[in-house]
Amino acid sequence: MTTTGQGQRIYYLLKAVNNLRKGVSLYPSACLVMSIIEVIDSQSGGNDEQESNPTGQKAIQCVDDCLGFVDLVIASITEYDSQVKEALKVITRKKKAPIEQVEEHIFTGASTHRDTQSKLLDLLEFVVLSSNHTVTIQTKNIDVLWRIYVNSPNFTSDQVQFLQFINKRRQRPMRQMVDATGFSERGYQEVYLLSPEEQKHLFTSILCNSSTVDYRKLSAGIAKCFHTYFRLINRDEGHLDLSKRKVEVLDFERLVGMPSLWEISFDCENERARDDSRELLVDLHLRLSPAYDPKMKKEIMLTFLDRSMSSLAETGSDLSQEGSARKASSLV
Amino acid sequence: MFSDFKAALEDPEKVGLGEGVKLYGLPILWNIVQDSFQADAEKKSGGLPRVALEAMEEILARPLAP
Repeated sequence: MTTTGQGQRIYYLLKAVNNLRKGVSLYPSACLVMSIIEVIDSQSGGNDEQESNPTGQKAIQCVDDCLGFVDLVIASITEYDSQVKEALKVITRKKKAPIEQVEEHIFTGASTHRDTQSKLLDLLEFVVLSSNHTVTIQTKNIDVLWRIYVNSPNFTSDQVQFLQFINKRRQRPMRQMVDATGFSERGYQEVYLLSPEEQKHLFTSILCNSSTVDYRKLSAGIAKCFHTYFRLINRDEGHLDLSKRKVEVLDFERLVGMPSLWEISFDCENERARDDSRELLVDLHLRLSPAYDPKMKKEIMLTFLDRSMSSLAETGSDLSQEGSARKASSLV
Repeated sequence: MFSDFKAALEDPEKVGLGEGVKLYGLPILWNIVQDSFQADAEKKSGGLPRVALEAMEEILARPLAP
């Protein structure tokens, strides 16, 4: 410890971390954890060579080694979710009037629901990105987050907020060493909240799993999430080239998640989710790499038309259902 | 330092990091930002906890905070 000031920061960092452990004062504790670690980092100048000169990354690593930092944040999110569920039960039991503005409502402490939710998600992002992915969310925690926010959210706005968080494109300045005196920032690089393994888990085990996602009732937000991770996973697998202005399919036969994309494109009741999925589906068939044999391209297109027509026929045979006529015309 | 940090995380109150922290009224601000802080609705909705939190962050960010 270099200064008493640093000692105070560590002291309040510990107190805030303990609050998160206990599930109390979540909003201020999350704010303090982030701001203290940022100060520790800025005062270290990013230099972690000396033990007496701690960086924010080291601080995160230390908390993670002792408690599992991400597990701690996930536990806080779970605890807050339980507190809100409990508060809602009380409202129902006492037959109180329903909450009008959920996001502005204070369920615990002095912070609004929106502030608490967003700060806990911010903290999760902060821990992963500030640690340079030495600390990761882990697949088991993705399952927990999906259950809390998507499968059984307290409010629709919670689900929307989480999906925006998971779909968000993140960039950070690229630092280049200019000389012995320091770095300069040149351009931006895309950074991902989830590690490749976690992205794959989210896509293959959750989004492509009809037992965890009901494609018929899919919201536009979940569909967007599906499309985002469809592109990422297939790019990482080498099946898609996203570096060009328009997506190019390198290995159509091995694209991951196609059965789910077909299902969403034809079965989903949400018009926007369905239309966006169809657009992606059509794009994938139209943007086959020039390296493809023309005969193979034709075969892929014919298979697409056959399948589309049979789906159209299925839809057409059920025209008595509400909205089916519109669905059919949209397909054509 | 970080061996202390680890020990402190396991038992934060017994490591002595908090010694001398009464300067700048940080403990008072800390109490105000806690859920357990007792204040009337007017003070809470008037943003007292938020002001206290901002003050804490500002003090702890000072380069030479004692």
